[in-house]
Amino acid sequence: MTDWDTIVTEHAPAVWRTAYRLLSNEADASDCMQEAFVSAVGVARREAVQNWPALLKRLATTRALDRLRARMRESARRTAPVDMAALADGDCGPERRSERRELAGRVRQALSRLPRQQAEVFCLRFLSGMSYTEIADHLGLRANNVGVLLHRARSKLREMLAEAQERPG
Amino acid sequence: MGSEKKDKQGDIVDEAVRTLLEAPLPPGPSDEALARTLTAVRQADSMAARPTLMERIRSMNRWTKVGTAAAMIVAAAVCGFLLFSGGGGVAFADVKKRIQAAETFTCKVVTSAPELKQPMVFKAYFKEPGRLRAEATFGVISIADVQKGKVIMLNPKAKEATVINLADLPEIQQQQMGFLAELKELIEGKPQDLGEEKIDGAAARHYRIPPENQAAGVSVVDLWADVKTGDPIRVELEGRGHEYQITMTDFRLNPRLDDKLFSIEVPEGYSRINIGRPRWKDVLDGLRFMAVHNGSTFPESLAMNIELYKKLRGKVPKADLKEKWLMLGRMHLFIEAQVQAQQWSQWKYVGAGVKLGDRTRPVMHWLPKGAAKHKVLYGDLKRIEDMDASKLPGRATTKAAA
Repeated sequence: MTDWDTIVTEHAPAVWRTAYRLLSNEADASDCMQEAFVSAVGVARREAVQNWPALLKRLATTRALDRLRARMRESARRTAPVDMAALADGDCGPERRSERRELAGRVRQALSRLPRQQAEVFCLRFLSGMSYTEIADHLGLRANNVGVLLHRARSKLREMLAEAQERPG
Repeated sequence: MGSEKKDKQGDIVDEAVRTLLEAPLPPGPSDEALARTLTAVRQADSMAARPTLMERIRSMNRWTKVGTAAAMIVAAAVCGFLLFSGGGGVAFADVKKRIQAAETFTCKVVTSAPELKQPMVFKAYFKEPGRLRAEATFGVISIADVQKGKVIMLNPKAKEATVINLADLPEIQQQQMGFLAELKELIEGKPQDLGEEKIDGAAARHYRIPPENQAAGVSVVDLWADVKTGDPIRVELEGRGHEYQITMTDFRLNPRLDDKLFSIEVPEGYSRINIGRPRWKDVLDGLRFMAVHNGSTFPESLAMNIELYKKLRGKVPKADLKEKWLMLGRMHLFIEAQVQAQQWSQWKYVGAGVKLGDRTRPVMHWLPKGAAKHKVLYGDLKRIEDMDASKLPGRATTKAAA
């Protein structure tokens, strides 16, 4: 029998932070955290969980990316896009804070446009600090595949972060 | 390990990641959020009873990931090749949104539209996470894997495999992920319970999802569910303006489906065709091509159907036909992507009868996101003007050529 109270209490802060980094919104991060733990209930029913932190980070990352995409979709409906900026960094001057804010917003938008698996692998590696082996184990991939996905994700992100789209309007 | 070292080379991606990692985090989660999560987890853990139909519809989050992404791409790539006539919406995506969650299921899908001389019939298979297979009765098999970001269309007769990378369609990909938000809007509104009926020989509960809860493109959705099991028996939906109707029957929930059914690898012996990334240039080239092969006049419709293919086969050298057909596909995908991502709204093709090169007569117009005026593309395929809605050409047709 799984001691959910202990699992939630122990791991909630890390799960919340994982979600917040992507969403930059406390309410969304809280909802995402809840969804991640509820999903974990389903996972725990099907299999024995060996590594709770890694599982929960993965579930939180997936849910956060889904919300990010939904948010981007919503912002496409509005005339004024949703402000995706990160919080100001207190150590920077106003101009630098603005640049970092803009870059944070752009990278979130770019992540929402990556193929699912690439986005997930990228976030687990660079935002959650998981190793290739951990990522491979949790996503049912080979370590080689993880490397390929990361390479593609980085290339695509680089392109998107630098690209100016050409459209007639 | 060498590849792990490469990750550390500095560039804009690294800088972007640093901004996310170094941004200050507020203290969290709140006690309230933690308490809510504990409650939800305890509830999920204790839930033993089979969910009702509406509870399963509410858990349809996963199916937006399966259906909207996969189905929209399949529809745009396959159905759209034969069905798309401009701005009519996407069949499978709308259908999929309304089928309740299951790990796998299969059903029969029948699609009717004015452009079709007879309904298109598919056998559809769905499997978590994010996989769809559609076998058309005319022989083409389409497979989509959202997680892997790819769609493949197999033509067993010609031994050809056309591959679409979802990364080449960021607008569609972004759009379909956002269907989760639209679905939440849908299920927050209450479907009408129309009571018990006999349908296809079984006692069923009839639900209707009202138009105000629909995503763009769908007018009415009717769902009949078995009163005993809650399983769907029949789903019917209509596009806005009733330009298409879809009926789904023969549902099987949670059948065993081999992963091989959803393989997006090019089968042995098949030649691979990459459709490529759709661009605005494909729209202009596609329109020009259609006009050139219609007596230098833009056709009644842009629909890519069997009749068009046969006409082109008689006029275009065989060596070029495949590439031109792909170009036309990219033309449709580009327009579809703009419409589905709501970058363009009120897109209309109005070129029927316009002479190629005529810069005084429009061939298509659309309203860009956030714009007050419509953009109008003229028959010379160069002139693009802004125009008030009140002055847009009155003649607009999306009917297929006879």
